[in-house]
Amino acid sequence: MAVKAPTAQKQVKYRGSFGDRIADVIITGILVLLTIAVVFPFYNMLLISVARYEDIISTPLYIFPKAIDLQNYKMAVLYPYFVNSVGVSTFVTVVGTALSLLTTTMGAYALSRKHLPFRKFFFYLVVITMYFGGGLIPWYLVMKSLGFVDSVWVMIVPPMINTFYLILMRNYFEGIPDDLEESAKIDGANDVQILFRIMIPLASPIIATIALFYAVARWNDWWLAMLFIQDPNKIPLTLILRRMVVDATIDLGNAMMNAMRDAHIQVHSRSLQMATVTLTTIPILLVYPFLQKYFTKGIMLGAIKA
Amino acid sequence: MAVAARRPESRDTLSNLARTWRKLVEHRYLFLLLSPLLAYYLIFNYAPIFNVQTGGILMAFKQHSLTKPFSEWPWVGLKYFQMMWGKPDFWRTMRNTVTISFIRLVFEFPMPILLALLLNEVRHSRQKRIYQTVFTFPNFLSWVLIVGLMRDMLQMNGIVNGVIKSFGGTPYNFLANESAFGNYAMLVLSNLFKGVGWGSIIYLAAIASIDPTLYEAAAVDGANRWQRILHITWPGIKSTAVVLLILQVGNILNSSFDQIFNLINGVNRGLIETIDVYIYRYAFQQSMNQSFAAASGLFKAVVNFALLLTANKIVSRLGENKLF
Repeated sequence: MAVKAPTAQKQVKYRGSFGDRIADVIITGILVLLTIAVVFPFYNMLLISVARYEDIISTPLYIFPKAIDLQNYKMAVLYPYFVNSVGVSTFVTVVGTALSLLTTTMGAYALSRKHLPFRKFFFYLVVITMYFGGGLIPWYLVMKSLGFVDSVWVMIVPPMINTFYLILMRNYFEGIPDDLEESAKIDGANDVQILFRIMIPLASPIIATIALFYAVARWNDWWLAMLFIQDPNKIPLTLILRRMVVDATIDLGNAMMNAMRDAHIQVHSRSLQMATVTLTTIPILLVYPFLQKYFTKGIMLGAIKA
Repeated sequence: MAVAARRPESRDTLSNLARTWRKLVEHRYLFLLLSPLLAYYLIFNYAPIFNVQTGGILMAFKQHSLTKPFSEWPWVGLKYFQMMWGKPDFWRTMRNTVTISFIRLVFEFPMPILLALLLNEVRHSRQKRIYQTVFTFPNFLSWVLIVGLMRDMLQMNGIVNGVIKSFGGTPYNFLANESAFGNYAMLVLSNLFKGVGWGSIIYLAAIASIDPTLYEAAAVDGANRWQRILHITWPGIKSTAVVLLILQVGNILNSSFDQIFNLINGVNRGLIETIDVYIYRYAFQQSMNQSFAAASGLFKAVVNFALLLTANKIVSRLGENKLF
């Protein structure tokens, strides 16, 4: 219903009076200004990421590119553990999203079945966690006792199920007509077969939406790694980025220093940071068109009463 | 007599048990599907509350010790809560949390509504889509990344101070200063940058479900654009706005940990440190007193729980769809 309506509204043709046209100009003006405000930080990011050291130093207001120099990107890649961290982030995103989707889908489907014994109890068990938790320290100690310290799995397993997405998916399964399940049962299929052969194909829009949300969350996570990971070989990209831009501890490492000395170049720390920010943004930018295709639907489904 | 009377009852319990057992067996495949989920919630959400071995929330009531196992910690009752209530930095943090939440309520909450109303007035659906695409994108970036963008623009040699200097002004240290206005404005603006487009989607969806014949009728009656917004569009999204407002009030203690944690430093700590950041600091950066950190965490969890429940009650009283 929500998807169709915007076109329906367009059918109403407003005859543009003079006042109406003035209003149009003002509205467009505001929206264009807002667009500039949102785009500008990204422009600045690209600008600084391809700037030469001497240009940043010598220009008080560096706002138009004087040169496009990809040297900074080469150096950013040489940052200690950078390449490794891309591997960690990719692993966490791929495996984490797959496991999240599998457990969320299975659980959501089971919770959506009216014949599940103690269904209400299980549902409340899940929902209460959105309101109350043990707090940071008790949670940390449980994680520690489970051996999650310095394990890549800490970025995959503890955030595996998002209760909000679980409920979205359960609502979706509840909306699928019962007769499909009943006829499959008559044919002798069990619940697992029904889920994987019939329900998952039917629920593919919501599954795609939630897969993208999970993937973005895994890629963006830095907090779990900051809490639990000491081993530099297991640090994800976003945490490397945080060390560079927030802690501002730019320890360039030997490989990088040597490369810079050999090439007789100087790299401004700002350029290095912005090149890393750009490289971290690119994967999100790549999935964004798919995200956008689904998220409105996702939010609408969420608004349906639980 | 008594025995005879009890007999059918006990047989009833037995047959009840048998029936339950049969039901469980009958639905064993459903339980197979449910089991990873149950294990997950028990381990990651309930063990931190109840686990006796690692402490759970009972930790807040026991004397912290680094050398002894939890079971040997002596009970101290409310000692750590009293310690917390006696700390000036705790009250400073509570005040910051409520202040920031209130400022967000006033200056952030209305913005997605205004943006949705503006976007709804764009007649070309293609243009509208382009605006939406741009405004929603930052929502999918992590705060680390956004703070990275902010730091580059706002630092002393950054582009914003470059503009200030070129107009003859003195550069301002946006990232580390003790101005309440400066810090809160930075929090509000950066949060809007990240979230306003995303926030407007739910209102646009509400607008989209308004019956288009209302607009047609209004056009026939000669209503102008402002009247259409005021009498058709706004009533169509008002209930959504009320629900979200109440839920945000319920979330008053949750004040964007990621954003503040990445922007905080020694200079602005007194103004922007909120309760979550405070708990983190006491748990991992300072003193390492686990019992104290657990006590402040429990205090927050309980107050938060009460606020959320109240908010949810009010929403359902209003006859609106609860989110959950």
